[in-house]
Amino acid sequence: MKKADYVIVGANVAAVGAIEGIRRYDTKSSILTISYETLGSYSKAMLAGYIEGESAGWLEYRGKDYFNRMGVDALYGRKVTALNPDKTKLVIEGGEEVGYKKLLLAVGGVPFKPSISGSENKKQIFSFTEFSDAHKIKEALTKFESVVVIGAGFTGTEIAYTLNNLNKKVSVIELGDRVLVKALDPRSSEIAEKLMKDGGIDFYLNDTVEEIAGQGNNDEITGVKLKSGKFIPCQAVITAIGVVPNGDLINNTGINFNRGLEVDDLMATNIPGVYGAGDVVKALDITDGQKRSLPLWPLAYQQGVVAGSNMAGANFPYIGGLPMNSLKFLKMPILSAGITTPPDSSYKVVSIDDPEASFYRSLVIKDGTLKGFVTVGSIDGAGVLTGLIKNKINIEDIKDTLLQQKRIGLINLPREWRNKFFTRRDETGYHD
Amino acid sequence: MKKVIIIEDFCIACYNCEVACVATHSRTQDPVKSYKRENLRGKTNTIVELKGPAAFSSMCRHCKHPWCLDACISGAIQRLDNGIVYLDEERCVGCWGCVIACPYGSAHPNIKHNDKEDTKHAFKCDLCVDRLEQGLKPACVEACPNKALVYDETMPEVLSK
Repeated sequence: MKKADYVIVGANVAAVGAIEGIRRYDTKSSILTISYETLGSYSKAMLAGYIEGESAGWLEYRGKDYFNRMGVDALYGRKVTALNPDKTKLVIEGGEEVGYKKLLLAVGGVPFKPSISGSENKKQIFSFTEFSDAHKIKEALTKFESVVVIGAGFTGTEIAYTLNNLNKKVSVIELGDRVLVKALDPRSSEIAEKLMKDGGIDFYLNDTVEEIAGQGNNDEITGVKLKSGKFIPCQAVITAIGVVPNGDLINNTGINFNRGLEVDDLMATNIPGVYGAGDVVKALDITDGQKRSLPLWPLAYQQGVVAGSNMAGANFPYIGGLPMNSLKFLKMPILSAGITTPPDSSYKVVSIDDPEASFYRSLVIKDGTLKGFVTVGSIDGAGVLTGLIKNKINIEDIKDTLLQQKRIGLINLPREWRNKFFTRRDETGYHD
Repeated sequence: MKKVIIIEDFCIACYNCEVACVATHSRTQDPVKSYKRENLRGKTNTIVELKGPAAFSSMCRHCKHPWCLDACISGAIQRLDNGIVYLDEERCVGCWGCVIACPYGSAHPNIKHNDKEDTKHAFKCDLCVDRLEQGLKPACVEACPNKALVYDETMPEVLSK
């Protein structure tokens, strides 16, 4: 039986964070990563670039020899099929067993697939969450001229934008009344929608796909029928409704999983020696103190570092994360973090909006502290706002300054706070 | 590690640090040519912040736990063995993850779409890693006339209970 001190299921950003966390405290012990994907560690957030013509190598996140350099063995293209925490081992495709001392489940999320009538036997229906999806879309580019994207969230709008750039006729169908409803507030959502519409993308809001139509028994798509009765001709459909934590391996193992892997502050599960990080876990959201699935890149990396450090014997609590979004594909940058649309009247919103919509910013405030923001057009120093959310600094006196278009600077913040980082005492650690 | 210590009481807002930073990161190494011919206006890694009588020059703090690195989707941001948090502009894809993550506002966007250039990447202070290798101090520190910027060892952190 194959054995390693640390076994990581998954090879993406949470796994990379964990490797870096483990190696901070333990440079000797063996680490093995196992992934059903063939590409090793790559950037899922850059997959749109691959469709637009970049190579698979361009997606590499830490370089070719990374695992080697970090003293990590890797099994790619091998799916873990069973997990037995009582015997501290797992089984990979083909029946081979792998034993571990510490295990990290960095198994990510799986795309949420709606059941739509007519979708059963159609060829050109795609998801867009991993390399194989992007590869299939890239291969099919010559086979469709028009495409329907289901879902106007971050992934949906990005793939829509990318395919529109490649001269496809793109229609986006969204159940909600606006685009990017989770990431943006109504005004910034309107700005983003206009930017995409001006580029030639059609949006159908407050609507949903009821049927994917084909010709008779044909596996070719001819269009989609919407709830509103509209019919949109297309030859391909991409579903982008979001991802849900992947419980495939975890169910029926005794590890607590309830719409997400349950972990404590150290990213440990209820089973000793088994940890979790990344899109699979329910992690602390510092904006409201609730634990939820937050499938976001920086959080996956941080959780990986925390889990890895603790697996190697450190006592390094996760301080929580907050949603952060960047609409990187638009010509005009749009960033948001935390709560962007106030859930009730205890929140107050201040905003500034120039007539051409080339600059817009809104701040969501509760009890004098910042809970979230959106900034459009002017983004330099936006991280200062993220820092204000994390550090719960009272912004009542400075909120007007924070709305100005010029760079947001530390000069607006309390001197005692910034001096912590400026002086000879180094306080630039994880808790800042 | 050694970092640039910022002493805001000593800052006289002369902007010499910004000029030195741009020049040292330019092709020509010349303060005038770098601004006028290399289109580097606004691409300074250290920025003088000014409000009433208060002023200081703010640049990357080269964190022990860099939030920008966590957020970097392309691997362009790395922590070098000497602790320097380095952003490789060639590998940067302009996703602005570092811009939204850095609590000091020290990772900046460089976005230009015009006749001269089509640019979209982030940039930040590299602690003048090339100068350090030659035994020199960071350019901003050397240019500061009133020693508001000092390149020195930081004290170990106070262990919190």
